[in-house]
Amino acid sequence: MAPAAGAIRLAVRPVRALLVAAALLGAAHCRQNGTPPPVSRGPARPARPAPARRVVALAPNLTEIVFALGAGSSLVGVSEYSDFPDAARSLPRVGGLEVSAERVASLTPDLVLATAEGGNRKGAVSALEASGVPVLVVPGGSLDEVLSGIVLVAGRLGRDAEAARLTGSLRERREAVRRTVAARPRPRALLLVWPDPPSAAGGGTFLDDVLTEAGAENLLSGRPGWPVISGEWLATAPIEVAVVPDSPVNRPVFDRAFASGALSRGAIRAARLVRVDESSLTRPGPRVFDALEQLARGLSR
Amino acid sequence: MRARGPALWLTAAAILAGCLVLGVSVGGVRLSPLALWSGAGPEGETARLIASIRIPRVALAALVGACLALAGAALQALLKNPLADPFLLGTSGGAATGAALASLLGVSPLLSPGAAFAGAVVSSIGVAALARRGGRLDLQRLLLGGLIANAFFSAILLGVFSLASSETARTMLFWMMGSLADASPQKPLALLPYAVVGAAALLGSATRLNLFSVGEENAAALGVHTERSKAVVFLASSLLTGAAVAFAGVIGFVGLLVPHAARSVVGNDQRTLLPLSALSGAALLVAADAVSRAVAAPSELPIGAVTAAIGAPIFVYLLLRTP
Repeated sequence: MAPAAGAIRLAVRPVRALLVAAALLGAAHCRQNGTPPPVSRGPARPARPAPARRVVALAPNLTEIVFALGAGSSLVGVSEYSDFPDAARSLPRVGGLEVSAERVASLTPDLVLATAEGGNRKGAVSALEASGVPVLVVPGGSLDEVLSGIVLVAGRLGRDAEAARLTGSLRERREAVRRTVAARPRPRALLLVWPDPPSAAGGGTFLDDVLTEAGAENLLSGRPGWPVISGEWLATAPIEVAVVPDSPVNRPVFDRAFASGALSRGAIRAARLVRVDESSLTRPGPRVFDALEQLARGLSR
Repeated sequence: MRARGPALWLTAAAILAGCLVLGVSVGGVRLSPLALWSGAGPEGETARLIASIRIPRVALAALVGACLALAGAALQALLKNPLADPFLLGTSGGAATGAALASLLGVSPLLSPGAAFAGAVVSSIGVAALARRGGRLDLQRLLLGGLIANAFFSAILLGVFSLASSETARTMLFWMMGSLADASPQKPLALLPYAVVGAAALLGSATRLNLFSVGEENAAALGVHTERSKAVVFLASSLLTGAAVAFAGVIGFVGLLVPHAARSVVGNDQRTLLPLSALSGAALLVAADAVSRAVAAPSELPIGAVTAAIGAPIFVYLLLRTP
C-alpha cells in the first residue's frame, strides 16, 4: 500500500485527503505489530529529498524550531498553542492535544513534524503515516535532544547551515551557563509544574535536565516522571528554591496555592520563589536556552 | 443473635478512635508519635506543622467517609437492593459533572461544592422522574435510570476533559480519582453543615425505612407517606453525596461496602444500621487515607484507588459468603 500511496501523491494531491480518511479506518490493519517506526522518512524516497515546502508542525516547540531556522514561510499548519513568534498566530490550526488527521491531510503537507512525547497525537500520527504523509518525529527529552532535533528538522528543510549556526550559538550559551554555575553551590530545588495537585519535575524529564544544567540540585531526581507530591513532604523537605513556570494562566493558580492552598505551609512557603517564563521553559525548542539563562540567574540570587 | 447495646457502640467508637489516631500518626513524613502529639522536643516545630496539615485532612476523611456510607446505607434500604449506592444511581456522576462544568466555565473553586450539589440534585430529580410511573417511584426503573444517568454524565465528563487545557484537565483527573490532598482547615468545617442536615434527615427516616422492608403497600397501610419518605431519603442521600464529591472528588466503594459489612454485624434494623454505617465509613476512609499517604511517600496514591483496592476483594468475599 505504501508505494501506491507514494505514486498517487505525485499525481493528484487532493486525493490524499480521501486516502487519509480510508487510512483512518484501515490504519490498524496496515501497521505491523510491535515495531512502529519512530522516524518515517517516507516510502521509497532517495536519501536526500528535496527541501519540504509545505510543513505542518504538531507542537508549539516544533513551530518555533522551524521559524528559528528561517523557514517559517514553509509552514502551512500549526498546533493550537503555537503562539510564538507572532507570525505563527495567523497560521491555520490543526488541533491541540488531539490533532485532526483530516485537517492535517487537507493542508497537503510534504512534511509533518511530531513530538516523541504526547500520547494523544499518536493516533493521528499513525493515520498520517499510514496514508503516506511523511512524518518526522522530533526528539525533545533533554537539551541535547533539542539540539539534535533542530539539526534533524533542518535536514528536511534544506537549512543545514542555519542549523549549524543556531545550535553552535545555543551550545555556547549553555557552556557559558555551565561555567557560571560550576563555581557556586547548588541550591536544593523543586520545579513545580502544577499546584493542584502539586506535581513536580522528576528525574529523567526534560525539565530535570534544564533545572540541573541551570545549577540546581533537583530534590526529586530520584523519582521518574511527574510525581504528585504530598503536602507533608512539601512542608518539611529541605527546599531552598521553588521554581514555577510563569504565564498569565499559571500565575493566579500558583498564587492561590501559595496563599492558602497546598503550597501555603512550611518549607515550600519559605523557599525562594523563582518564576521562569512558562512557554520558553516547558517547550523543547530554541527558547528553552533563554529559560536556562533566566533560571540560572534566578538561582544565583 | 445480633450484636446490640452499649458494647456495639463502644466497639465501633473504639475502632473509629483507633483509625483517627492511626490517621494522625501515619503519613508521608515519619515522626515519632510522641513528638507529633505533644509538639515537644527537637522535632517539635516540624511536628506542629505536620499536625496542622494532617488533622484537618483526617477530619475531612472521617466526614466524607461518614457521608458516603450513610448515603449508601439509606439507598440500599430504600431500594431494597444491596447493590444500590450513590455511584450506581448516578448521583456521584451528576455531582462530578456539576463541579467539572463549573471548573470549565471558570467558576471560582470556592463555588464548586454548590455546583456539585446542584449536579447531584439534578441527577437525582432526573433519575426519579425517569423512575416515576403513575405517581409512584418504580424501583426497577430507578436503577435503570441510574445506569442511564451514569452513561450520560461520563459522556459529558469526557467531553469536558478533552476541551479543558491540559493543566485543568490534570486537576480534574486527580479530583475524579478522589483526593483529600488539599484539605485546608476550612474544608471539614464547610462540609459539616451538609453532613449534619443530610444525616439528620436520614436518621430521622430510619423507622420508615424499616417499614419499607415489609413492602410498600404494607408500609402505606401502617401509615407511612411512602412517596414523601422516598423523596426525603433520595434528596438527603444526594445532599450527602454531592457534598462528599465536592470536597473530596469521586471515592467509590465506601457507600457500597460499608453498609454491607455493618449489616453483617447488626442485621437490617435501620435505626442501628445507619449510625453504625456512618461510624464505620468514617473509620474506613481515615484508614484508607493513611495508606494513600504512607505507601508511596513523598507521592500520594489517589484515595479512590485505595478504597477500590481494599473494597473490591472484601466485596467479593461478602458476595461469596452470602447464601
